[in-house]
Amino acid sequence: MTEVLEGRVARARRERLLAQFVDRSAEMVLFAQVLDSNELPIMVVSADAGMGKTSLMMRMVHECALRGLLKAELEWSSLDVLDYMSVMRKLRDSLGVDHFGAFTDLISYYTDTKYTPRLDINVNLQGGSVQVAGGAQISGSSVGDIAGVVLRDNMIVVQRPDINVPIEMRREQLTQRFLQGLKGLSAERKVVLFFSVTEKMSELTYQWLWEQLLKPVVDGALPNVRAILLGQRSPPADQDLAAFVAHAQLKPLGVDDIDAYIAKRIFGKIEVSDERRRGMAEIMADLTNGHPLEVASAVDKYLTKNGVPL
Amino acid sequence: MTGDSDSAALAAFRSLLKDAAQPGTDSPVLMTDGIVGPAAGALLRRCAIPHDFDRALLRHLGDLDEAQADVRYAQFAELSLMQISDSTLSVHERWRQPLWRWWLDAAQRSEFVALNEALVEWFAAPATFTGEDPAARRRMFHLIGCRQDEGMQVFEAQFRAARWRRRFSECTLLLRLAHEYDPVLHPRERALLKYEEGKLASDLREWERSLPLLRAVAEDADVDSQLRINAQVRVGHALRMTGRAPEALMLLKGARELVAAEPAAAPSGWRVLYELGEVYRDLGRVDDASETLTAALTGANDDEEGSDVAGVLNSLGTVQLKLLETDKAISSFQSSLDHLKRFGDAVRAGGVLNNLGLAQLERCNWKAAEATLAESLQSKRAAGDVLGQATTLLNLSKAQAAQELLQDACLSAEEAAASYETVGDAPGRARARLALAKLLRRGKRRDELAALLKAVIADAEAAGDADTAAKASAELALSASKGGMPWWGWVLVAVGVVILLVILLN
Repeated sequence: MTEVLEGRVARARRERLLAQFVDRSAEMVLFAQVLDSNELPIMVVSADAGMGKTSLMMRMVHECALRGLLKAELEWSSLDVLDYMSVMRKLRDSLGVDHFGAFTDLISYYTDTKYTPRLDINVNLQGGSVQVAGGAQISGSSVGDIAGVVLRDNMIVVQRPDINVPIEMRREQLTQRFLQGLKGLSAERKVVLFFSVTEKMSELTYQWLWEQLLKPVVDGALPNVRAILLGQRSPPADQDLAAFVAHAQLKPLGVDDIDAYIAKRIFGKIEVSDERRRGMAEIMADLTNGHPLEVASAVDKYLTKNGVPL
Repeated sequence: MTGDSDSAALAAFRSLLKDAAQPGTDSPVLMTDGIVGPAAGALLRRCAIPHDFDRALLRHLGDLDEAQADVRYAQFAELSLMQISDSTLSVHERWRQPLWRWWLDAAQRSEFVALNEALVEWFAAPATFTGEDPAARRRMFHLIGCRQDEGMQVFEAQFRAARWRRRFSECTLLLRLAHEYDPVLHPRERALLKYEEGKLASDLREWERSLPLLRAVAEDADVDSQLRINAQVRVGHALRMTGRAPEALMLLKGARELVAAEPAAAPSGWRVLYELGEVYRDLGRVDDASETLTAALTGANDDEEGSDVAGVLNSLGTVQLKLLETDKAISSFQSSLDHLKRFGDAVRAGGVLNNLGLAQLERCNWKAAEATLAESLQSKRAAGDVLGQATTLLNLSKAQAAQELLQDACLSAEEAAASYETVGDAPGRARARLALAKLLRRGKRRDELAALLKAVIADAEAAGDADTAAKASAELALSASKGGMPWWGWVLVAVGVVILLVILLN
């Protein structure tokens, strides 16, 4: 019962936010360029809290849906650990598990002490290799043709202590496996990955994201993959990288945008002349400096004061 | 132009917005009351204490019945200051921060404590089988809010567990949660957070970030002596790892004196001695290193819980090897391995096995050395440690050659050379190829030997490596004297010598 209520109010709020979306046309044009051309495969949207990144992302996700693109959204929070392993697991689950069988099997191998091989894992290490399924007894099937039945792993987050593979090596091997899956998937259709609230990412995850996960996107090895990062962080200061990253810094709303926003919010609820609404927009611009969240909260307050439900 | 009624309305509108924008301790109250009215305002403020809430938690926070909870949840979901997910709401960070600061103020203390007590009870879900335990983090967070000392102890335990599992992102998250209480933390608690941050940076080998954090704790007179000494040890470690061993030595000697003067700091004594012993070893003062590490071992054994006995034993073994106390070294390495096995630490075993193999080589116990080095190799292969494999392979070839297993020894040396090449270690590759040459000579495989040495000399000449060229030329001459070198061999030796002279004269 409660899930129904919570899901319903979430949907209603998202629809309202989409309908009330104003300005940010320059950012949406840039986003379209990122989707349509191969020159800028990554977009970073940076701004302080409350500047409208979430609303912009909602609009971008909506645009992806209209275009029929495959997408995955990841959001960092104050409470959940989204490290490299969780990021790839969540992306896999959002994009569909079919192409990520080899990744799933390797992650099970690294985390589950009761692991039984489903794929013939041969972790190619320079100078040696780890033969996981070497000599495995698999009846009724050959190791190669059961890849399709590997769906999801056990989601264990703690690494097995009995395997002598350092975390750095596990991370690299898992990332390679994941990228192989992503390559197969994106050969069929364009894939857009959204990463939001990036300021809450740990430094280690942030480094991994740019140096390992997104590297083939920058290098053009995954020509059908786009990555959109939204948060308070600017892109890394790297000249070589800058040529492949579209960077948008969100600016405060102008009086025209605030005016348009008020019009959308009060439409059908309060009758206000264009002149008065314009005056209200000027006052809001003055008192909020065009900060989108403060503008929105100010309108909330105005509506509440007038006894109008939000 | 606006008419009079418009002017009045706009003035009222400005006043409405300005009221809530006034700075001051009450502004979060005005802001929330202004948006939802005083009745719901109190509940809205409470919603800023947890990081997010669902309908059930909202009901709990507001002591609401089912219908009231539905209404309030739907109402709050429409607020612009609220962020939504499919199943929860959270107060936007921009609004949560002033509300959180307001809650930390002494005026709200009793209500804040009571709410946090209720939230500790609320987040009672056990850990999942996956090892992930978000409810535990939330319990810890709210425990700091109501029983600060206890909460900080739980923070330390959770941080230690996450660090042990090498879940560094979780460590970062735990630190961020604890830092939310910065305005009300005691100086010791703030220092503890700084210390843990410094430790985390050290784990990630970010020495330049860790040093100022750890130094700040080490020099903080308000902090208890044990934490200060632990911070000093870590400063010493960071200095040693950045090539500043003499500076580390000064600091750690001071820390040792502090431990002697402060009985409360005695549990940290073995840590100081362990790091100091490693500094002595790096400085080549092996007698001092041996004495200090032996003392560290005694202290670590006395303080069994949480002490790194395996690490101390391994360090002691390397020093004993340098002192040619081979039997003692073997015993130290074996004890170290026993400890690692007991704690299920497979990752560090590869390095200790290599050291044990070296000690067994010194003892001329070839068979045991071969078995140990093969085990170490397997361990390093699984770890993808290519450089470590090269070193172990070279040691393994010695053990095999000593048992006249020349074919195996040649293969090991060849593989070592290939591994060095893979990691771009040219001196290592040259060393391995020269070792291979010696083995080929012993096996009387003259054609292969000549071809190998020609290649080594050519590579060394190209790289301007006079030392290797000279050694290879000498090896070539040696092989010629035993088996009769063809004319082109002598030409190569002559060319090698001329090039060596030219390089030396330049």
